[in-house]
Amino acid sequence: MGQDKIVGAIEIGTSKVIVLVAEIIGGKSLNIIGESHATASGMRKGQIISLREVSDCTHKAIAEAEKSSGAQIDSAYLAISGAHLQGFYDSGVATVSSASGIVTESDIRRARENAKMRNLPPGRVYLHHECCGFLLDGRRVADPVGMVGEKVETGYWHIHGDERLTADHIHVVNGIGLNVDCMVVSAIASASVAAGDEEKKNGVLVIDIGAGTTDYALYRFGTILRTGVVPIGGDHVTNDLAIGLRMNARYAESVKLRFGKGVLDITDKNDTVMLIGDLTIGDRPIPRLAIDKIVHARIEELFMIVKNQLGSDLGPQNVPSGVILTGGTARLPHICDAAQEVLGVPARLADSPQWVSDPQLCVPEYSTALGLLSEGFATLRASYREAASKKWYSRLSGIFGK
Amino acid sequence: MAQNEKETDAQARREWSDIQQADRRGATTAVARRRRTVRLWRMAGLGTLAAVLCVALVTAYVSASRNATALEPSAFLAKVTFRTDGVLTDRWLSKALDIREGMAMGSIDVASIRRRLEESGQIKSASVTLRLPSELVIEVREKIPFLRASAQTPEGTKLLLVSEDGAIFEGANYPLNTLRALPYVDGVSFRKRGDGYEPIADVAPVAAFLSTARARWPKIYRDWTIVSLKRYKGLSQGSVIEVKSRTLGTLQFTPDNVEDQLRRLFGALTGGALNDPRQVTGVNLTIPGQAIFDYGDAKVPGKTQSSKPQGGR
Repeated sequence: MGQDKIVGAIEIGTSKVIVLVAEIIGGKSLNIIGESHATASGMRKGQIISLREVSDCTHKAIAEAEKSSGAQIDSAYLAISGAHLQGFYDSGVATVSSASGIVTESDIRRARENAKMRNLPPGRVYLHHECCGFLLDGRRVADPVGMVGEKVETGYWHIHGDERLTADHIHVVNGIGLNVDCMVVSAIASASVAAGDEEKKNGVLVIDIGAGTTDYALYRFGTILRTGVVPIGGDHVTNDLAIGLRMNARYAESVKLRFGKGVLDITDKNDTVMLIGDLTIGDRPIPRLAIDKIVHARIEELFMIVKNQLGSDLGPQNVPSGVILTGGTARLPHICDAAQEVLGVPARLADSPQWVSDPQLCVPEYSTALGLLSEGFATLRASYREAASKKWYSRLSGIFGK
Repeated sequence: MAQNEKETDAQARREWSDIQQADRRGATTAVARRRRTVRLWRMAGLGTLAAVLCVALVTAYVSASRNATALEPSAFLAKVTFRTDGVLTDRWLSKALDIREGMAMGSIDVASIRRRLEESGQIKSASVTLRLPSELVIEVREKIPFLRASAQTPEGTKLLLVSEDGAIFEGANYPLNTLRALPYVDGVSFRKRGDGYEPIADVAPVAAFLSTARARWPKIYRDWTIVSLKRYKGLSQGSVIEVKSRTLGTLQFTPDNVEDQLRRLFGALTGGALNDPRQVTGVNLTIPGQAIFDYGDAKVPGKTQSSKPQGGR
């Protein structure tokens, strides 16, 4: 009974704040009971530029979500993104201590500690440590405990961010009287629901294209190989259209949503579309090919940056499961074709997770918030399990220790 | 020096969870303030509810304790009030029930007392009430006997009474005159059941008959000594109640329409048609409209005399 709680998954995006309210029953099951979203303001490329404006829209969304669920959130899970996030790989090695050469939990613990020893520059904080598996005497194993060997090695993909920018995100949530219990990097959150376990084992790249940033996570052997953030998103496409076709941002967004395509379509060569389309004064025809060219150029650039950042880690042999696209901008028609063309691997749109039944939530925009709930719940369950095992261990040691 | 190094290392390996979360400056909005107020009110409401519940519990506990204390000095039986519509007395009650003043109120079993009273025979129904703090009230309705019987028991001859519901019981406290006025019952066998006897079935018409005779023709009734139920079969055809009279010998009645039969008898006795009542050995009133007098074999040549009813008393 003590493991029942109401949690809120909060994603403060560049264009939208999404809040999901879920009920965790007995620490075992998770039910989504409320949802709300609000237009974000005070954000640029995933970073807070006006704490007051971001607080306003976030608090409104939280209050609305609580109203829709009929419950008050006890604790918050928060997604974080932004160009300030960086990652690096570090490994730790431990010599097997037992005479028989059998790997114990203590050997694993030492290897883990060694892998987390690297100091960060001042003003940086760790956000995530993702274990990338184990090597026992150089061979990859899933769980080395109980196996025989001399040297156990583990690797971690560490993600760190600017302390002040991270604190700003946390303080926005604190402002409404909630504590952040779990913070998940957006790339990991969306990848956790967009890709299946089998795809993660084979190798898959999940790209979450938001309004201000694009987050990606590369998986192989079931663990994260790399993550990254590109400060380009759907808003850049809108901005390019506004400048290139000399229109204001509102019309540019409308044109992008109505006529935007991820690829150059030769059949659009002689086609024109109306800017507004309702015979308003000032309405004018725009060549469709011009729209295609602008959108395609930016999308191509985005995938090129991702390709360059991943370098040799990206290739058909490393990501046999291909590329999975999610996020609001993934709704752009033919974006998968553009991704496939640039990245050189098959691309597809993410399926909605099977455990979500509400059709309103089965859209790419919600993948980060859903992943946030999923990751937060998994962390919570792990902590419950650890606490329970510690309890039993201390009880047993209490009995036999006397 | 080593401690400084440790602190530096800790600073360089800070986790996001190390960020202080209590700082809300600059991030508070109207929505947040409203939410906080609602939360505060809700908590205050819950607190008030909890406090009210606590106070209610404490009050109930104190009140219960006080009641217990109030009961304590008088938790013993101080008075037994006995009310009856018959002849039983307080003395009989104290003998029959072994209830003493001063016994603990808690030890008095009301249901058991009621059962014992109703099983005693003479009591038709009983009501037993504990009136706190120290009184026991017993109210009873007694059975009315209409016949008596003399039974031979190992202890000697015992007088038994029959009530209108057929119950047979040993009467207590009845005045001698009352008992003497009751005719004896004959023609029925008494069967033991438990400590008492099995009731006589279907005697209500007989009781009604005797009650009518006693009330309306007392002069006739007072001579009746024995009521025989040998030929009595309830209200069915051929059922006869035989009554032994000191002056008229054996009177035969049917259990139905008894008033008419008694009126006929009275009419015959007072109408002057009867030669000498002292010579009559029996009267048969079972034939409608007739009163057949039997004068015995030797004394009257005509043997029987039929008399038309004269009516009235």
